[in-house]
Order: sequence, then structure tokens, then C-alpha cells
Amino acid sequence: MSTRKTRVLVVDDETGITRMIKLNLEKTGDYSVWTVNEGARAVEAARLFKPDIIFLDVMMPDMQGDRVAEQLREDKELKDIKCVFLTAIVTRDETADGGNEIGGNHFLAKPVRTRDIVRMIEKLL
Amino acid sequence: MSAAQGGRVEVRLAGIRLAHRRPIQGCRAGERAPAGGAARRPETDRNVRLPAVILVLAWAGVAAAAPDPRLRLTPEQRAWLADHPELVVAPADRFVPYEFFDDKGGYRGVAADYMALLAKRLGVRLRVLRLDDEAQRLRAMAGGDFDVGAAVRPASPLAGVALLTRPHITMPGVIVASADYPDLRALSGRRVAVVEDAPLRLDAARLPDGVVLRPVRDVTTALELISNGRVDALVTDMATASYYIHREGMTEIRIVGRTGSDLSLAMAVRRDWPQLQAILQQALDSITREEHQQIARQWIHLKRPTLFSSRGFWIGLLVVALAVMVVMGGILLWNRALQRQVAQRTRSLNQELRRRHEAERALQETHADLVRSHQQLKQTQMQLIHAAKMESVGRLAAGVAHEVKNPLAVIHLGMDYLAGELDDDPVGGEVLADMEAAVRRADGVVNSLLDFSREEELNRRPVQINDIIDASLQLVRHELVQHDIRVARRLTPGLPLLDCDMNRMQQVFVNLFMNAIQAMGGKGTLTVSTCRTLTGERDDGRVVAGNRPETGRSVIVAEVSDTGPGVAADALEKMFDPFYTTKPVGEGTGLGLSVIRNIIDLHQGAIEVGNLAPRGFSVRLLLDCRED
Repeated sequence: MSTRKTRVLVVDDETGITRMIKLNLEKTGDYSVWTVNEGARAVEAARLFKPDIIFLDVMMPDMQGDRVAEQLREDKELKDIKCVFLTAIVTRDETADGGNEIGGNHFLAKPVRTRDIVRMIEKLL
Repeated sequence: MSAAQGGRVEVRLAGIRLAHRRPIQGCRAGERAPAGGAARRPETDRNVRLPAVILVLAWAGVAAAAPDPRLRLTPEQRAWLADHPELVVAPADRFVPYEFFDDKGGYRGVAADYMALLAKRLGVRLRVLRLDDEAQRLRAMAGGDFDVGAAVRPASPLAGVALLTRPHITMPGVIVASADYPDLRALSGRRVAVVEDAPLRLDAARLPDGVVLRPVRDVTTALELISNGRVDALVTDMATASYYIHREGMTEIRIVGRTGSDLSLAMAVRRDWPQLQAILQQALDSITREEHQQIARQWIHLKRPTLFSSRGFWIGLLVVALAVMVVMGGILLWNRALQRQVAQRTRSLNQELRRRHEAERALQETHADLVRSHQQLKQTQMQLIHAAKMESVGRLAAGVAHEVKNPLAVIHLGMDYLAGELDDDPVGGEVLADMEAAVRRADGVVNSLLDFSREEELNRRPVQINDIIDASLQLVRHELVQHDIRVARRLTPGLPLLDCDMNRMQQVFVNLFMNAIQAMGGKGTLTVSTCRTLTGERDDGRVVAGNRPETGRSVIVAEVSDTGPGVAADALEKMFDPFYTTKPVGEGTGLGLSVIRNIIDLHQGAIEVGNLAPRGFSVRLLLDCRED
């Protein structure tokens, strides 16, 4: 166990989701979690918080998750931060065999479980 | 006649009974007279005192009748006739056909007929005296040994010792020849026979120049010479020619022309009986034209020589024949033209018939094409409707997934949090487990919807369908065991590889197996078979979805069947509709067959579903087989 807590940024327009993820991860004591409920604010939050990993909802009303990911990659400081998409439009079957990776992007299918998130973080970091 | 030759013959005959054709019969009686003996006749019984052979030929009729009242005889003449009831006739021998004796000694000939006619008319009997030769006859006439010569040429010696009536027989002189000579001119320079002992001499005035006259013994000899070709023609009279040609049957000989002179014959009467001369003349004058003709017809048998010998006749015949031929030819040509026309018409009709048959065939083909097109169109329409449905369902699915899965995620994550708070509370753990199952079910429905609506590219690879089926059976093994389902696996080995998305196809078979297991409820046989075959005719009892390959195409068929209760007919039609299900609420999404259908559609295959007899249900997948 490292002295420094892993920084996790969760971006989702659904406040229930961001709050639950934050609660569950921080309860373990290993994670420091920031949450953002608007896609447009994700990049700014990332600059301030400097997360180790970002969980990004794909379908958001103001800005789609893939657009956010694009902006992050264009930023010199932020481009190396790991991004994991959260999506409702992928079935669990697809996530199971495909290694939660489509086109070089990692993703998790909703409804996501806390242990899936933890497993993904451990795998990527 | 030869038997009587050289003897004297006495013939009695009854004029009335003497038929023209009937010879006067008699019998030989007497002996030969010394040559040169004088003949004298007694007044009463008229027995010939000459030492001559007397032949009484016949007595036909006894009493002499009275003269014909039509004759205008004077009383003296009637008295004379009454005193002389019998007349003695001495014919010239072999003066055929005027007067002669036939084989039986009968007195015959043209003149004999005249004599018979006169005897009848005058009411006298006739007695025929047959003398040896013309010289004896001449002496007998001069001596008054017979009364009448029936056919005497005025220029003959006999006429010099007798009284003559006017000629009662006039016969044209003719030249007969073989049919090779069409006319007199053709006889120029030819040999012409003349009968040398004929009692008449004919003028040869009309004979062509250069004719060589050949004397012959008699007419028969002359005709034979003509037949043999040794003589070309004969000069004679018409009656003679007619008689001989007819008698000898010499049809090749005919009359070619007239000599220009006639043969005239009169009756000669003994010089001391001028009364008889007058009476005979009157009787001869009374002979009608018809009677003359009747007698002539007996002896002249030649058909009118003018008919067949006439040039005009033959030319006419030729013209008629030519005309007939021309007409026949015309008819023939016309006939052929008609035949040609008929043949042509028949040909064109046959062609027309063929054309129509072809047209009909083409029409039938077109009709079949139309039916096929119509079916394809219907199928396409169904697919379009389906696609339209799918598109809306797809949009709906994405929306539903987003809207349902986010709350589910909140619940799920909340359950994670609560699970940590509950510690070891067993009731709380059960509650969480129920929640977990509920979330999973809800998630499953949304996932089915997403699977169903997805229309992304297939990940195609050449795959052995039997492998897919085995992998799918493996996935449902737990369910099979749990429901006590036996599996009949009838997979044909060595099938061609299918170019398909293995995961999707596996999804198809898993869905089919699950449906079958659920339909059987428990205990039953799941049969899965594969084979390669040609598409058969469509079975009306089965419902088809997708793009059914044309009849006769090589396809791979995979069939999954169960021993369950089957499906009601109205349900069959709706089986492929999304959300249609016969299962109780909560046990099926109603998307299973729809998902299968979509996947099979993406593979350009077809699905046939139908009930089995006596029970059971089968789903058959028809997948186009790629030959290479």
C-alpha cells in the first residue's frame, strides 16, 4: 500500500453515480475521488486535481465523453492520464470477452459494480 | 358352196316365207348333166330335161297368193300371172354378195332378197335353178330354160340374150386398201388388184397415175394378198368390199376411195316373155325407198367410212383432244398452284402456330418470373418493414438502455455501499441478494434489447457450423442436465465451412436450445442436425423469415427440434415479431427469435419454423453455402 492515495476523477451527468463511486472508493481508504457532473468541466477539473485515472461517462447532455477524452489527449499535461469510459450502450457480454477495450479505449458497462472499478484501476495503474 | 360346184341346183322357195336373212334350204337330187347339153323346159312341171343335177332346196309355203293389190296390174297381166304361178330363177354362181349359194346350198344375196320381195308382191312361187357356169347360164337364158336373172349387168353377155328391166341395184365402185393408205393419192405407184373372173368390169377411171393393176382370181384372194402386203389395194364395188371385209373380219382393211363409176344391175327376163318384163318393172318400181335400204343394210356392213377415215374427223378429234389436254393441263396447273398455295398457307399457319407456342411459353416464363418477382418483392417488403421496425427499435433500445442503466448503476453502487455498512446482518444480505437479482434481470432485458437492435458489421470468418453447435451445446449443458433433456446430435461431418460471425451464430444456437428446453418443460429430446442439401419447394405449413434461397440452391441446413407441444397456428405467424412471447411474464423477453432472425438476416440466410407431427416444434436455418 502506497502512502499516496490514488487520485480518481469521475465524470458523469448522473449525480447518483458519481456520489456512489466516490463513497465506495473513498471508503476503502486507498482513493481520493473528485467528481464532476458536466462534461465541459472535466478538463478544468483534471488540470486542478491531476488525477491518476479518469472514469468518463459517454452519454452526457452538454458534452459527450469521447469529446472530453479528445480534449484531454490534446493537452500536453493531461494526455497521459488513463481514461475509462462508462457506458450504458454496451452489453456485459461485450465487456467480458473483449477485455473491456474497444478501439484502444477502456470501458466499463453500466450498471457498474465497485469491484469492477477497483479491478480496472489496479489493472491500469 | 364348193360341194355344189359344177352341179345344177334347183331351188324352190316360197316368197312369202323367205326371210331376208334366212337362206332357202334344199337338198341335192339328181346328177351331173353332160357338158354342152341343151336345156329345154316342159310347160307344166318345169322339170329340167337337161341331164343336169337338180336340187330341190326347199318348199316353203305351197300355194301362190294373189298379187299385191297396190300393184296396178292390168287384167291381162293378172291373168298372165295366174297362168304362170312359178318363176324359175337361175343365179350367177359366186356373184357375192349379190347372188350366190351358201354352204348349205341356200340362194342368198342382195338380188335373192329382191327376188323374194318381188315373189311376195306378185304372189308367185320361185324356183331356183343352179347352173354350172356363166356360159351354161347364157345358153339357158337364150333357150328359155329359166325365166329371170336377178342381177345382170346391162353390159354383160347375158343382157344380150334377154329383156332387161331398169337397174334396180346401183353400187358405187370403190378401192379398198390397208389402213396404211389414208387416201387414193397415197396409192400412186402401188399394186392394185382387179378380180379377173368377176362378172362385172369396173372403170378404173379414178385410179391414181402409175397404179399397177394385178389381176387376181377372186375377191377373197385379193383381200388375202392385201393382208400379206403383196398387193396394196383392190378395185371392187362397195357391197362386195363391205361383205368380204365384214365376213373375213379384216378390220385393218378399209375403203380408201371411190373409182367414180357405179355398178348397175338390172333384172333379165327371157326374151319371149315381154309380159313378165313389164310386170317385174312395175313390181320393182313399187319397191319403196325403205325397202331398198332395208335390203342394202343386210349386205353392206361397213360403217360410214367417212367417219374414221375422214381427215376432218381426225383433225377434229385431235383438236378436241388438244383442247381437252389444254384444259386438263390448265386444271393441273391450277391444281398445283392451289396445292402450292395450300402448302404455303399451311407452312405459314404452322409458323404462326409455332410463334404462338413460343409466345405462350414466353408468357408462361414471364408469368413465372412475375410470380417470383412478386414473392421476392413481398419478401423485400417484409424485410423493409422489419428494417424500419428495427431502426425504431434500435433508437428506442439506445434510449432505454441509457435511461434504465444509469439508475441501475446507482442502485448497484448503492448496494455496494450498503453491503459494507451491513456487516454480518444475514437478513440485510438476503435483501441485497434479491436487489442484485432484480437489477440483473432488468439489465438482462435491456441487454436483449440492445443485442436485438444492433446492426453492426459481422465479424465473419470461415467456420465449421458443427463446431458452433458443439460450443453452444456446451454453454447450455447445465440447463439440459437440469431439465433432464436428452440430446440427439445428428451432425453431418465434412460440411463446407460457413463464412459467418461465430459469436453471433453461437448466440443463435444458444437461444434456440434455450427455447427448446423451455418449451419441453422437462424431459424430452432436443434434436440438432446439419446437412448439405438443395433447397426444396417451400412447405406451406412452415413460416419463413429472412431471405429464403431459390429452389434448387445448394444450402447448409441446421435444424433444432424439440418434443414439446408445438406452437398454435396464429402464434406461428407472430413468432418473429419483437417482444412476442408465449412465456409467462418474467420468463422471456420476447426477443429471442427476433434476435436470431436478425443475425440470420445479416448472414443472408433464412429461418423456417413449424410444428412437427405428432408433436414437437422445429426451427430450420438455411444458410447459403459458399462453394469455394
